[in-house]
Amino acid sequence: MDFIIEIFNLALELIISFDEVVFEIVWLSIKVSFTALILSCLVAVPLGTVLGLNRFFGRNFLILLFNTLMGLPPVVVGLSVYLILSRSGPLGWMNFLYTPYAMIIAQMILIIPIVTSLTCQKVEELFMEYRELFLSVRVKKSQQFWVYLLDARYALLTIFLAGFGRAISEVGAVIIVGGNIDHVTRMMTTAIAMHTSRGDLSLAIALGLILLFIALLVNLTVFILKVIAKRFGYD
Amino acid sequence: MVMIKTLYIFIILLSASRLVAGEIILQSTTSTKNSGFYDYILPLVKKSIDVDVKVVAVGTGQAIENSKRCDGDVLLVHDQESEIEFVDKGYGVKRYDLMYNDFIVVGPIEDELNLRNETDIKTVLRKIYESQKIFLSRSDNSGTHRKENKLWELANLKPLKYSGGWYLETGLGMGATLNIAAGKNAYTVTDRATWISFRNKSDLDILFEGHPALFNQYGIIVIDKNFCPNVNISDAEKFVKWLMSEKGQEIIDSFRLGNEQLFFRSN
Amino acid sequence: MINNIHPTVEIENLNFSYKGKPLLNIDYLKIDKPGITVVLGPNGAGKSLLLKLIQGIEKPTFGQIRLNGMPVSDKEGHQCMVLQTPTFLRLSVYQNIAVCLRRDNFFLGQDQKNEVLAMLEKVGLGDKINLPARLLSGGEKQKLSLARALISRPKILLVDEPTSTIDPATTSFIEDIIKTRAENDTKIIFVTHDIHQALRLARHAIMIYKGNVVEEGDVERFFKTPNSPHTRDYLAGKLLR
Repeated sequence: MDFIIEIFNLALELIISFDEVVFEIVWLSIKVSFTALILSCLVAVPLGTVLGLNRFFGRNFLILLFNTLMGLPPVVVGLSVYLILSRSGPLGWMNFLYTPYAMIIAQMILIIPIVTSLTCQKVEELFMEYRELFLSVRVKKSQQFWVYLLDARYALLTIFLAGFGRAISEVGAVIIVGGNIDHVTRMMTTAIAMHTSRGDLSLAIALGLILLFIALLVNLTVFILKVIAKRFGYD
Repeated sequence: MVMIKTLYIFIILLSASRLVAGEIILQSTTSTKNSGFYDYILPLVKKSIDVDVKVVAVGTGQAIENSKRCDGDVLLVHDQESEIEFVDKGYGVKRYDLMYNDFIVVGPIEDELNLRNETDIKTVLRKIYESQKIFLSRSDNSGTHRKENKLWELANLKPLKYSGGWYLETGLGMGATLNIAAGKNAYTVTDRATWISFRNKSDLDILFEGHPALFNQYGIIVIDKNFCPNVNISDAEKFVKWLMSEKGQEIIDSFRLGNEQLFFRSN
Repeated sequence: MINNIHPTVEIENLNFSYKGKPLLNIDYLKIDKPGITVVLGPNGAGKSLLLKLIQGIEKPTFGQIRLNGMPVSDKEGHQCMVLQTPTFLRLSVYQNIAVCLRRDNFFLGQDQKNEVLAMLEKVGLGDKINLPARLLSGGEKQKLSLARALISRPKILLVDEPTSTIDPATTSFIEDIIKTRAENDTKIIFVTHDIHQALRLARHAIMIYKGNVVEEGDVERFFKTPNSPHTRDYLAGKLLR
């Protein structure tokens, strides 16, 4: 019991005292994961929508592929990105390895399949609902695309959350491509891994609690948005 | 058009992230990092020679592999044999003896096998081997793992055939392996720096130390520019020269954790 | 474009089958008379299907439908349809209409905005423009659906049982809108089970029974002296299947 109380005290202390080191780590985690999320969505949302709205040869294969990639092991992603970004790898000239950019790329590879698959699923659901409507009033395909996204906006929020959750909680990939370098690529998860290996278990769990707290804040924001939407009848 | 502009801005932003002059990447073993050694020494490096050192801490084997892929400017590890091979094959310029400490055998504090009274590492390993008490091997190609293998060889024992029985191969870093040892009350070989800085010791204690075979030499190597054209050779050499200088060696000697000295100057 | 005044729907050798079972079979049908056309027939006869085929929502198994001489395409056309159970996007009443005016720009110009507002005013939804469409009542939904179809000024308007679940006042309101639109050169084809409504609105009637057109003609003659025994039974309220 003392152990648990100690951990909670430590976590609270770190949050309340606004510990500079912890704050830096938290801020980097958020920056990297949000950037990865936004860039992923720029790719994955249109991709998922196209997959959901169109019927073409190879579509089922692509859907199956993205569904499978949702379960991609982060370590494998980390290693692949590492080999590509390594100075002796094909993109070594970019000098991305051991920078936040490398971590963003790795996280994008983890997020894109999730956002693509879930968007595709949601849009397909809406497509079934609205197909006749659009044919009955003749809205251009390019316009339909936007209307579907607009219509799915609250569902998309949940999808983004799933992507963000995968990104911010992931450690296997970012520790390989980021290197857990102090002040440069040390994130919440890599710091947790590091403190665990130092045997500093209470600090590791305290950081874990802070991570959980951030996840809670993000989820709460989306939850409130959805409640407001529901109140106005847009659910 | 907007897309192209965005992409353009993005690329500019990205190129700004390239490593700038005055920055080097140090591919390092974990013990130096986990003990807080770099937190102590790197600010002094920055002040003296204005070089930012970014430390990537992995096992010795992985650090060497990463360096062979040119993902570092300086290599700091502790397996002399593979370090010499690294330089001989043209990956590194020159190898220096940077500092040393020693390996220790840790295990259950009760010391059922009475290892504390032994004087020879061979007897210690033989006792563990014969008692079939759980022993954890890093098995991750790290400096410590290689040292452990050499010690078994020295004792003329082949524990690998008991892998999965009492001889457990974790495949993890020193810290993670010590966590398991603490949980299983098992024996293992660790470097002293990691042990001192490790905070989850629970019922483990040092059971054997001070044998010459347990000597732990850390070496430092600048990656060869002829092999890796990207190497920031001037700053890398500045860094190594500083560490090997009288001042650098004094500073290494002065690092303490609690009251204990973790690394000893070699020069 | 002479046909601009009286749009023509021409159906030739049309067949629609589902899993090998023919649901609609029309050798030849031409709808070119001015005024509103009503399609009658028992449940499951294929009335809605006929409208959907004309709209291009469903594709015929074989045969052809031509609008003003051009084959129906699902890409473009001058026809619009009001579905039997109107669907609404998770958008405001205003946006539900605006969707249909967007061509190349995502945002509407001021003229188009005014057009949308005028249309909503006309169907009596002027005070509900910012309400989510899903919160409307049944009658309001029908009005919105009608407004959505009318906003793009279709030459042919297909209406599927617009008032089947609606109170008398709203029904006559909707009928008025349909009538006004018909007087303004839109060819309207609608499906209803309300024989009185058919009499009030239509000048031309088509009877469908088991996927076949069994009778067509001028409304007054159609109701007074039906030729087909099926029509006679239907009007007498006898025919169920």
